[in-house]
Amino acid sequence: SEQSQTSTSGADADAETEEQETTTWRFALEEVEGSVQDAYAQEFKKRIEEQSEGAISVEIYPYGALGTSSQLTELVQNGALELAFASPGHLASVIPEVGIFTLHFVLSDDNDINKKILSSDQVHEILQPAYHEQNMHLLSIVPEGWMVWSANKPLRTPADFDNFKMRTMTSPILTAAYEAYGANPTPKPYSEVYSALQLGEIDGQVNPIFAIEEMSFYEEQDYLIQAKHEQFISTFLAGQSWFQGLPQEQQEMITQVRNEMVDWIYQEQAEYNDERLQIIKDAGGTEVITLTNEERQAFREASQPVREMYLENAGERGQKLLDYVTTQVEELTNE
Amino acid sequence: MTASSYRSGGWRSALQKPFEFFDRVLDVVERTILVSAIMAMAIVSMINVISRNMGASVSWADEVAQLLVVVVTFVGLGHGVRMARHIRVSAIHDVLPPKGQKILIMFISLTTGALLFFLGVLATDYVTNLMRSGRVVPSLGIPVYYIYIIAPIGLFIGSVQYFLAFVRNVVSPEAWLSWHHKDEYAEEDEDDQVGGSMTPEEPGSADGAETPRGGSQHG
Amino acid sequence: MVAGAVMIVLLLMGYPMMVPLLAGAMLILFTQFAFLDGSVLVQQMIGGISQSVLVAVPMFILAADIMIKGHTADRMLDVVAKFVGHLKGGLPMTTALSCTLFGAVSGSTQATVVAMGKPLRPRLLAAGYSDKFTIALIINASDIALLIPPSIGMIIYGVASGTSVGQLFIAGIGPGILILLLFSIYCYIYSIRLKIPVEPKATWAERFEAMKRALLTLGFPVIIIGGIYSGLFSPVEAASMSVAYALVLEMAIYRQVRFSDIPQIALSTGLITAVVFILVAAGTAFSWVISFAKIPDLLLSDVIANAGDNPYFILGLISVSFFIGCMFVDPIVVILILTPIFNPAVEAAGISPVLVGVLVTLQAAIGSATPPFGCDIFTAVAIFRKPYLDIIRGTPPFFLLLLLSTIILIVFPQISLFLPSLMAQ
Ligand code: NA
Ligand code: NA
Repeated sequence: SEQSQTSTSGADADAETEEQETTTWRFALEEVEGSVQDAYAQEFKKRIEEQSEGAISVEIYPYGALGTSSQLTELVQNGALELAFASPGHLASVIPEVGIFTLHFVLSDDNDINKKILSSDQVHEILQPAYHEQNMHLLSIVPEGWMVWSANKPLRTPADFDNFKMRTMTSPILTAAYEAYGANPTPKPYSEVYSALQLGEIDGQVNPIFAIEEMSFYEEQDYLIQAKHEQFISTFLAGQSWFQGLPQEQQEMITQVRNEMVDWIYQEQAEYNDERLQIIKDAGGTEVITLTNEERQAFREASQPVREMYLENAGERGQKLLDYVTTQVEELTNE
Repeated sequence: MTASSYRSGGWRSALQKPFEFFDRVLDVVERTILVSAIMAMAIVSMINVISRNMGASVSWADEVAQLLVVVVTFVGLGHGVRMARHIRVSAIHDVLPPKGQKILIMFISLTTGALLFFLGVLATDYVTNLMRSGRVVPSLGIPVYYIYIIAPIGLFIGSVQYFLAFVRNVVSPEAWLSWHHKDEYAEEDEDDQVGGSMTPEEPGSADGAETPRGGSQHG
Repeated sequence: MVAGAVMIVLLLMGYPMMVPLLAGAMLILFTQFAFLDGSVLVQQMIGGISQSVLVAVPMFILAADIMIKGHTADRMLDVVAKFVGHLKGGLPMTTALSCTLFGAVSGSTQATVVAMGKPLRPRLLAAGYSDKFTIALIINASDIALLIPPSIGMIIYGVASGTSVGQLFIAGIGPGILILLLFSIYCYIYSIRLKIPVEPKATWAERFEAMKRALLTLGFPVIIIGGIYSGLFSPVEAASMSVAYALVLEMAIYRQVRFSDIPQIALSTGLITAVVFILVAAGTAFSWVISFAKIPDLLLSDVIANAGDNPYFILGLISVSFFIGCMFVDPIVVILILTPIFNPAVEAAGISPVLVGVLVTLQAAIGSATPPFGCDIFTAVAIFRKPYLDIIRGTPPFFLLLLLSTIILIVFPQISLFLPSLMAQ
């Protein structure tokens, strides 16, 4: 078939461009069609295909087509896929440094500040060697919206979390974060969260608004609580050997497109989450609470010890990253 | 016991002792792993119910249970070949004369053995990749390959069992699905009898249960 | 296409069923994607069996084995027999109902085949029903459960199509009852036509006696249904709690099972689990290759583009595509891959996505009990120790009834949509 011959190493692609043959880049998502990652991938596809004037075709594989998130990472590592999203929840089990994005209250509550920091060369330079060690190449750090708590009672203080059965992903930092608030974190597969909420096996869960709408979690919950404690972040990456093997101009094209898409995706995800929030509000029955700065402060303090756990895993590079991000947040906030 | 049916030449009896020893050890090891993994699965899950409802979920329960499923599947892959328990459709097989059945089974055993061997090589690659990347089981912090190494092992053992089935068909009359099991559909009760006498504590009894079907008819 | 033919030939030759699946995957992979690292097959095999819901399967096998080894299952079924044994088709109807209810709460059709099928099959055989009818009834009735909430199939569809899971759940109830009804009618006719003798009607005293004997065994439904619906435990945990309860009951109270019996029961459980799950694993590897090659896209995009907006045609096409997909590949994977392909056509024709969700889930259910590849068939082969062909021999009538249900649901969408529309008001 056509697909089979085309998408191979960069060297082959180089030789083939003269004959105007289409090279396929496979791009796998951790989310379904219509998600933030899908929006990003579609836009990336559009821009790359335009700029390459048809020499490159980007094939998008939404969630479920090629496996779970951690399987996708492995597929990028061994060259079966060229591009993918990988979010820190699972990626931290091979790159502990990215666990920083699952820590609470590290980023600012102002997304303009977060944008400056996360798209900065400094952050990429600290993280890139960690990706390279795993035969992956970090292209962009992509925000997907604030993580929001859902529950059947308002969660305004850490005391409200006492014995609260909170569904989290299976990640030690994430479970530790809710343990620090006094909750009973309960890891559970994403696809089972809805029925677990319905049956009362768990009391609440945490996800970005778009996921809460997409999975209908709000149908089973009375409150959504915006603490702006953590941004749901994914990282856009390529296979390192594949990327290094690309012709110079294609590497530059990717870098240029991802730079141009920084502003685009921040705006897109905000609109996206606003729209979904409106759907939830229109459906009725779910009250949205935004925590005040004083209320956030109590959680911020309770969350501090978890950073030690992160540093134990992420070592020196993790320390450097945490120091850089926290000082930048402070500086930019005081500006 | 079964061995009597293929004991005829000198070179065979020379190989027989070590072969029987390894065969028996492997059998006991496989059974022990299967039994412990199934029991562990039940226990882990029960612990999680109790602890979650007492206010402290065991974050590793779910992952450990899934890892145990992987262990059971791949250990059982090899053991399933030994016990001739793998699921198949016998449409063409059933209309063939005995001689044709035997040839078909030999061909199937040989090629299936080769396929599983090849898959075992791929599994070794996969585990090597995991070793290199250092992926850990999130909740336990242990490297994933500690567990997944069972995949190549199970595939290689399955492969060897199919090769043994081929050899058995060469050295013994009639058709054999595995080294120990003839080509016939064991009914439910018969299997219980086989399973029943083979607790891990009693390695010796394993062959005893097979006597009625294996050795006595060919000894 | 070539790969499909090779798979069928290997299957009929009598290869262990993992071989056609793996060989098919390898054939496509190595001929079309030579650059790929073949270890991806092993990655997908392991991934396919690393799903938390699958843990319920060995746990229910274990619980069922303990109950059968002892007297629990008998005591429980005595009660059933005393109440329905005198009715024509009473026993198979009860079987269908039990499978539906158990499947609804356990969330696993395979676990249902084991937990309900193992104890019920001997009863049906003793009552004079043929084995092919009995087994086909058990595997097909277990699949109705996919339509009754909580249903994993519907959750996955909800995510992939952006449909409310709550609405889907409610929409499945009507069709679930419809199918149960059709199965019951068939059981009734079957028992009359084959003149299956009925038991003399039990007196209330006998029924009371049977219930007294079974009092403790009634803890099982309480644990499973009560435990899950009260949020005390997940479906998987309910499985292991029923193991705990079975152990207490059989070892401490009835004393029918000795501690030394446990390793043997666990070994048999492990072996059955393994021979079924290696097929789940191989099936996952196969479906990965299919989706990597975008074969569904290639096959369907032209048909969908020319489908127009006749809702009956589109619903028919969806049903056929999902059914064929689920014949070969795990239903969850089929739903994830095919739903986005059909989404635009469904929207363009203005069809209710809730109705599509119900149809899709039904096809997934039918597919898992339809040859050549179906996890329920594999499970039945493994636990009943019957040849594959014997297992599927009795399925055609049930298959036809499910096909009929599909048509009824397309023609009368209100069967699905009535309850959700009530909820919306
Ligand atoms: Na269900
Ligand atoms: Na099927």
